[in-house]
Amino acid sequence: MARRERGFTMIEMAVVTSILALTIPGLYLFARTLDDHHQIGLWHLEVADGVRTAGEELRADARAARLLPGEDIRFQRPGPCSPISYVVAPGGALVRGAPPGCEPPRALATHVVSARRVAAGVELGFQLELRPGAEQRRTVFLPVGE
Amino acid sequence: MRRSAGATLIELMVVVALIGISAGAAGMAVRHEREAGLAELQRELAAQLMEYHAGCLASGRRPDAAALQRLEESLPSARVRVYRRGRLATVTVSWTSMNGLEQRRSLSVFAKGSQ
Repeated sequence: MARRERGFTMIEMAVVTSILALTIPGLYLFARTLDDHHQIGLWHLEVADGVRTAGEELRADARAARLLPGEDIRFQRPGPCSPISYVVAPGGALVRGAPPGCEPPRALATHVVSARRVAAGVELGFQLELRPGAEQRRTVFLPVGE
Repeated sequence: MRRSAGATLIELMVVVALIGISAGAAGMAVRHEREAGLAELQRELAAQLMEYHAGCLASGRRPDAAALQRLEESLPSARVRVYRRGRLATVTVSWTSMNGLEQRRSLSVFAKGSQ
């Protein structure tokens, strides 16, 4: 009987390499898709939470104060702690702030890229950047006051 | 008896089947997570629409057409119904979720004046 050399033949190595070359990109894409779905699910939950919190704060301020004219979201109320402003801070947080010495600023929502006045309310833009070129966007309108 | 080295076809099939089942389960779980997140956002958007109507009824003012249009654009499948019995008004918002089921939320308020 012929002696069998130890190790793999060139054909065996080529077959294994081909199979790996086919499966590894597939597995990578599958894992990335799973991670994207996971991130998007969490992002939707955070957007929902932000919409709830920001909506309640905006309505409360609209009841107690007057929305100042202009493009910025600012409320004028009686007393020194005025105006109250809503701005998008670096990092994507919607922050409600009062003048220094008054109540501390509070982050109401995350993943916010824009907050602007529109007819009868405020429009918040939310964005999730999964990777360059792959983004999720959502615009939510919050009615404010009259 | 000679036992050749390596795995049999059955062993390979079992391993491949186990990997496939695990991957499928992981995929289903993550997909469910994504749909649950979107469903929560839809519930919140429906609540915004419902609370706007309820706020208008409670304060006796007419809903702003522009605000209503924008709210309805956020959740296109939403339908609003208002039932009134005396001063008590019930706002019901129904919408179709991603899995095709009809969802519903209601809020009752004491209405001011007549609309």
